[in-house]
Amino acid sequence: MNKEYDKQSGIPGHAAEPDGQEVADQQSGEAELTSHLGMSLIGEQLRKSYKELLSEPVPDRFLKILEEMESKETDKDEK
Amino acid sequence: MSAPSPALRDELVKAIPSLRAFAISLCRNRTEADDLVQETMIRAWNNLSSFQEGTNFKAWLFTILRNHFYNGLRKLKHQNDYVQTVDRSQFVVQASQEKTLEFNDVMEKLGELPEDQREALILVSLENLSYEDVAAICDCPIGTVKSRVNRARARLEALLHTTPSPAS
Repeated sequence: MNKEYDKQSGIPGHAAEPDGQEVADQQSGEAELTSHLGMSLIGEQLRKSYKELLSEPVPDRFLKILEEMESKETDKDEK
Repeated sequence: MSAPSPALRDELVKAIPSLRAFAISLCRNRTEADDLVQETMIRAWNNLSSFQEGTNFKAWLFTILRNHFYNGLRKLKHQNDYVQTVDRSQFVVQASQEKTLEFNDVMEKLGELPEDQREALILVSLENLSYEDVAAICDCPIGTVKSRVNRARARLEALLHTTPSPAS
């Protein structure tokens, strides 16, 4: 599943290192590196807010829908 | 059709928060966003057999969600001119009931980006998907994704400087 490099965890098998961010950015090229650094503050705010959004509890309706679909599958399999 | 593998089911559950966040950024309306997520889950479930093992499952889900938004919901939206303004306030006001000021501030800035830049930024910089996966999701060349992300960053940077927020 992880055929692409993962910016957060780095390449599988490589130990996380303190300057891992720089390693990950190497392949982005100089122009993009500048842009990364240039938006570090807003980037930080974005990541924080996005995390907030992701940490909202999942509404029951989604798990219920999944259960419904699963029980339909089970019905089908039993027939 | 045989029952989906438990692993994929778990992946689907794990992806729900990301699907919601992406849907909210597209719809800018939480009720509509949750309907979009639900529809995406149903479509994904019914088409799990067409998912290619070894590819990024989350990217596959984002593709389904985005296609449904632009091919279905979006067309409806265009018939209702008022929606755009209503959506915008909902996006911020509903969030403010339980969110920090900074959250609203950031969401507002994000909402000011053109939508092609906004989705590229979210998928690349926040969901950490590869440029290749995002190009597939948005059905555009990889170079286009890169330039959208760069423009989004530059734009946000400019917005940050025109409306400074407290340093921390």
